[in-house]
Amino acid sequence: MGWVFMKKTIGDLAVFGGDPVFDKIRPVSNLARPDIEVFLSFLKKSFYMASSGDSDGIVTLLEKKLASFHEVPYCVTFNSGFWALAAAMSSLAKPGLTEVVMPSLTYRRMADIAGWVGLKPHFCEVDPLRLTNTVSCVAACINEQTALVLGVHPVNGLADIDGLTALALERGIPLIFDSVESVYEVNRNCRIGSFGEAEVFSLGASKLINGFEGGYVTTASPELAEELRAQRSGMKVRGRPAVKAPISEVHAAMALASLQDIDAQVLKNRNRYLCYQEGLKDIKGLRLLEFSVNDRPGYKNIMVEVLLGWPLSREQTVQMLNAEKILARSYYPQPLHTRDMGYPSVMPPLPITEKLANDFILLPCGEQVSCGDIEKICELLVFVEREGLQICRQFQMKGHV
Amino acid sequence: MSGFHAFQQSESGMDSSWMAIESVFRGIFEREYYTETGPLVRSLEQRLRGATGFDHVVCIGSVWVAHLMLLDALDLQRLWIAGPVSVHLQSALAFFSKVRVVTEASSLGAVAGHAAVCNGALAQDNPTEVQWALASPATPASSWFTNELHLESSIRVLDTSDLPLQTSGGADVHLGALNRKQHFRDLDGAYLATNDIDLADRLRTMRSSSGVSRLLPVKKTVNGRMSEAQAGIALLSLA
Repeated sequence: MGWVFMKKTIGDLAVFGGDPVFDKIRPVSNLARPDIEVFLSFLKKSFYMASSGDSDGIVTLLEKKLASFHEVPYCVTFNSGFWALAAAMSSLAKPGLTEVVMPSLTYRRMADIAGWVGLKPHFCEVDPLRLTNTVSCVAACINEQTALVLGVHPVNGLADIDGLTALALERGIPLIFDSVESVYEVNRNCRIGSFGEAEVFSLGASKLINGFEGGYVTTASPELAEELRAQRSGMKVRGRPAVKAPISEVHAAMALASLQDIDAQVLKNRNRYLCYQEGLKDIKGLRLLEFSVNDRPGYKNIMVEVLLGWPLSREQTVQMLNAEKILARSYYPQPLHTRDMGYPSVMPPLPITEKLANDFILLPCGEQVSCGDIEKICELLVFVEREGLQICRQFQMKGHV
Repeated sequence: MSGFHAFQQSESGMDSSWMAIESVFRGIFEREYYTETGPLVRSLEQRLRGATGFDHVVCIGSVWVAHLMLLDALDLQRLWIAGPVSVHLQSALAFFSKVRVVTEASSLGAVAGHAAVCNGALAQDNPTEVQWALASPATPASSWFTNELHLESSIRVLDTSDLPLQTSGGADVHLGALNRKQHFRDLDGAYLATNDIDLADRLRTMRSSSGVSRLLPVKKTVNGRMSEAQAGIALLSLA
């Protein structure tokens, strides 16, 4: 027997005291669980190698496999994507210059990464369709202090790789891509990983390749790869502080097992995406952000735009969903240029960014979310759209934002 | 510290060690918690509260990151270091070029007395002005804090990251390493223990914001998350 939607009146909504749709949280993290036997086989090798004094096993193997996956000569792992990006920024920033151009509508710790390595974030606008920094956004911020440009792949597509590459080349500025959300994608039939001077990825549990924790840099440059390895082992390079943050063997073993599963995982993600596409198709007030098959996407993130016809505010919607144990999240609700920072930054007015920061919601996805769950989530959203006016009034009566 | 012991790594104990490790990971895969929101990290923090005697323990995925976090969270300008400087501290200090480091002159190959190192330069210094004292004790920490220095107004930090786990007598903050050379190379992991709830919340806010009772303003955040894997192996090493 199939699931029957149980909410008949708005009083049945959990935010107003009803029972939640789910008894366990449905997250917005990928949380892929690789085959445990594969993981244990890698781990066991590492365990016995460590005791015999043998070294350089699992981590080197992971780096080789990742380099091969991304079709790039070099991969250097770190203990997180955060520190991988810090190391890449530190190595690639033009000596003597201070600014790194980056979007403000991005990962909440992005500016801090620059701050740690002594660079000044110069926040740029994003394109309203791509949701990331394009050539015109970046070009407007380049000046005589620009040490580096950071291109960021958005959660549902690719950055303007060719445009940013041409701009960086023309201006003679190093270019790094934050490719954390685009592990699987391709650009002109080349897998992401070989663009710019370097690309940076995460092996965090919420990402496509789950290594518990971890990150890596891919590059075609042997000099950069050597410098990153030196940093990772604690050696200062050209007087700069070293990012002494190696990945552990246990995390490397997990990443290896996840990497082995990646194609199957993408297929499952695609099914989830298709379920959302079907379930949301009759909802007028929400727009599912679509993936382009040309990018060969990993279908990891599910994001909707809250349109003018939707009866609730974005915050009310997230609050209502969270009460149902649907762990929806606002998409970068506080752009970086609106935060207080403990280090210098350049914060021009960014009206498009500030508008977009109110418009999007990430919906549950990944291993812990089934198509049956998605059906329930979508039915709930249909109910909310239908009963929107009443829900809005009830929110106001209860003093919710 | 009597609460800790190195997990057996003798040849005869290898297989039983492996079985214990395998069991830890089967549990993690079953629960599907992978990072510091999981039960093993919470359990480890609870165990370390008991073992260290501090009210608050923040587990961090990397000893080096733990040093960066503490240096940044305390916002110090002058640092007195008693005893040898740990490799992690030395590496972390490179990110804090404005910090004036004061240490024993003898450990720098200079004449007896106290010296300051600032941007590589060495000079005689007066240690009574320091804000933060850090001991890396070859001798018991308490002797550094009580006998060597007059430090009522300083924050006393005990850094045992290069040493076996031991008591933190006399310290306000204890920075310790986990998973040192046990089972796997580079598994890493650290903890910061303190009775200061503001400091603990600042550290948690910096780390990932998980477990924070109040989000406090911090200068910079990091990714300092400890994984369930790191916590699980560390728990195996606790008596």
